[in-house]
Amino acid sequence: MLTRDEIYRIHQTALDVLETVGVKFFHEEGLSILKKGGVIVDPKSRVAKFPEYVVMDAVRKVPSRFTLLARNAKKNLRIGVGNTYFTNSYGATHILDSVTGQRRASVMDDLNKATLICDALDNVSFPLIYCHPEDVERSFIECNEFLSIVTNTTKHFELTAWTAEGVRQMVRMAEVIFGREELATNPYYLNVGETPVSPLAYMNDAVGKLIEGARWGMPIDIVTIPMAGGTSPVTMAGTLAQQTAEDLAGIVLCELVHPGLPVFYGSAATSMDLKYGTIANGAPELGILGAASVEIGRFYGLPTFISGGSNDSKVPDQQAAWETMLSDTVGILAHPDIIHNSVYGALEGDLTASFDELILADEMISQIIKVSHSIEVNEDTLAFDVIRKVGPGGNFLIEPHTRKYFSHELWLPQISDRRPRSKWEAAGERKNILFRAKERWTEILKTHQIDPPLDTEKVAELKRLVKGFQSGQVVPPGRVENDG
Amino acid sequence: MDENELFQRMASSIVEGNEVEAGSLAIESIKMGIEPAVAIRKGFAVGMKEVGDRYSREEIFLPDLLVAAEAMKSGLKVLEPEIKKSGNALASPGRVVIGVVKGDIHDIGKSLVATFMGVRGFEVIDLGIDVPAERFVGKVEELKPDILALSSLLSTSAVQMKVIMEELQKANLRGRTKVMIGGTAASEEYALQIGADGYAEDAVTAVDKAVELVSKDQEK
Repeated sequence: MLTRDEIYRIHQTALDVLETVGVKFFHEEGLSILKKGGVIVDPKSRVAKFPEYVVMDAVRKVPSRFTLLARNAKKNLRIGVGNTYFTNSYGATHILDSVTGQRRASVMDDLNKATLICDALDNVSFPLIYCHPEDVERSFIECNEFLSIVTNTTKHFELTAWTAEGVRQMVRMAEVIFGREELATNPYYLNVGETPVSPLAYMNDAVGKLIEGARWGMPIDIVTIPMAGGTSPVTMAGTLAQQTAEDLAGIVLCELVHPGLPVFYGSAATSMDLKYGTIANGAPELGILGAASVEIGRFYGLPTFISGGSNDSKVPDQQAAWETMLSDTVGILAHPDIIHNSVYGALEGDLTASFDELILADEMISQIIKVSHSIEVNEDTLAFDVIRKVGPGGNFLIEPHTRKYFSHELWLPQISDRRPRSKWEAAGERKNILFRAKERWTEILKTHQIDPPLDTEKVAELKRLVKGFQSGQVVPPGRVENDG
Repeated sequence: MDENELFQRMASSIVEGNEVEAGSLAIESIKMGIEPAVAIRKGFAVGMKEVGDRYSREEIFLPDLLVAAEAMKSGLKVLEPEIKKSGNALASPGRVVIGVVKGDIHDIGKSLVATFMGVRGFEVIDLGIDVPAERFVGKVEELKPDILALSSLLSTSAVQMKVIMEELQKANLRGRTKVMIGGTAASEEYALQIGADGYAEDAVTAVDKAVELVSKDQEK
């Protein structure tokens, strides 16, 4: 996407923004931490201006390699070694009901099922909160969502908490699962995701969460979401410069709280639809800005976390498919460490979830992963001996070489249709790809179990904790300062 | 330049989004002795309607609509004091207090609504972003607006809307003021759930909704 010179100019502009325009922090403690760290803070406007050396000091402290841990160690995520990891979509408030086909508010049962499906799908490296349960009182939503996640997957947990208190509650719950000492030694079982508000502001809750997460030593992904034309310049270069300033400001804060903390350079930047004033999730700009973000993150030696796969369609149709496919493909070809939303599973820019769409996206991602792999060239794969043996006019079907390599070299469809027409015509309902998608997730829900299961005593203890949080009887303490 | 030509040019200045031209044409209309209310009705408002219609037909984009609104404001800025001087007031559909609820600073949607309401003739009091419930309630008590418009993009802060509804109820302020909600975190269902009077999906329908709510009220 960008040449080295272009990245450098984006970097220089970001530094100009940080030094002269600044970033607003709606959080008193956050501002005082920044001030102590050499950032120039205007207490009245709450704008923090960052000298270059403070920024670059922080960038240098971020490790480029680390491992995000999972309850099932086989699902650990090794960041910074060339792997790309995927998540499902985050935070729908509605769902296309699988039985009625109608759109309705999402509930806890949907989240439980979706997380279990994501646990079963190999391409979902770790599940995010797929939908918000609208049947749960909003004040208690964080701990209830976390309960759903930890009881339905053994993959890595991201704390999609809304507040510092939410982080504390989830940490308390994670202590039940992993043990207090283990979690204190290995806080990478959890990571915290946070988003500034473009242009150039961090909300009170967001900063509270960053500080709390950093004190526990949990890796943090800062995902900026500027909308070109609305909340950032309409130009791609300007959006990248502003986003970089936003990311770096957050990184400075995290590194001041906890030097050496893993922090992702993250972006879910896209454009604003200038007709409706809404975010354009399925725009090609999402892919362009995502891929460019990976290049910028790599310029700093930072781990990268981008977004892909989202779409603006209201139903699982052609538009949904091509939009998901495009931004995922463009994003993945830049080789980010994590591309979130990629196994999309939603419609309408994350507002409406659809289990069918989750299975379709899994199929798309499996193709894209295939495309992102390089071609293996060695003596055996060049296959001169096999070509000589078969010679002119033969075929390769029966060759041991074919059997040895085909499942590795060829992409194999799960639900895509390649049947001859006669078979397809005889397939009845199974002609429809949405029907086949539904079959797949129905089967998963019927048969899939998390491995290893979570002890029943631990589940009971987690439920007791959630009740305690709700009644106000259990208030987990924050991590004390200077602990990191 | 005769009156009709002036009105036409006033309308075009809005369509073209020419702030400077709109301002000087407003001054020109005063010099020509044209009643300011007439100049607005036959000149600027015609242009604004044209732009609104084009936007509704999806022929133009938000930035086009916004420059038109800016030109409109610049014209009104000249003419409104003249109307006041003559002891009259511009017929306004009503008074709106608007803001983004506490815990959220997403500004765009709210500002678009405020702009378009202003252009439609509403008297708009914009309380800005991250506004605590007490402030909304205090302003409703003080200003007795026809509409209170609340915005939130974050699900985390949408709960504030419910708090505000409860506070208004407690303070017995639900009689006169209709409450509208908007933003990604709001929905028709949520409006029903918390007892708000209306929800609008975007800034243009928000203005229509406000007009509808106000006129419904007047019918009673």
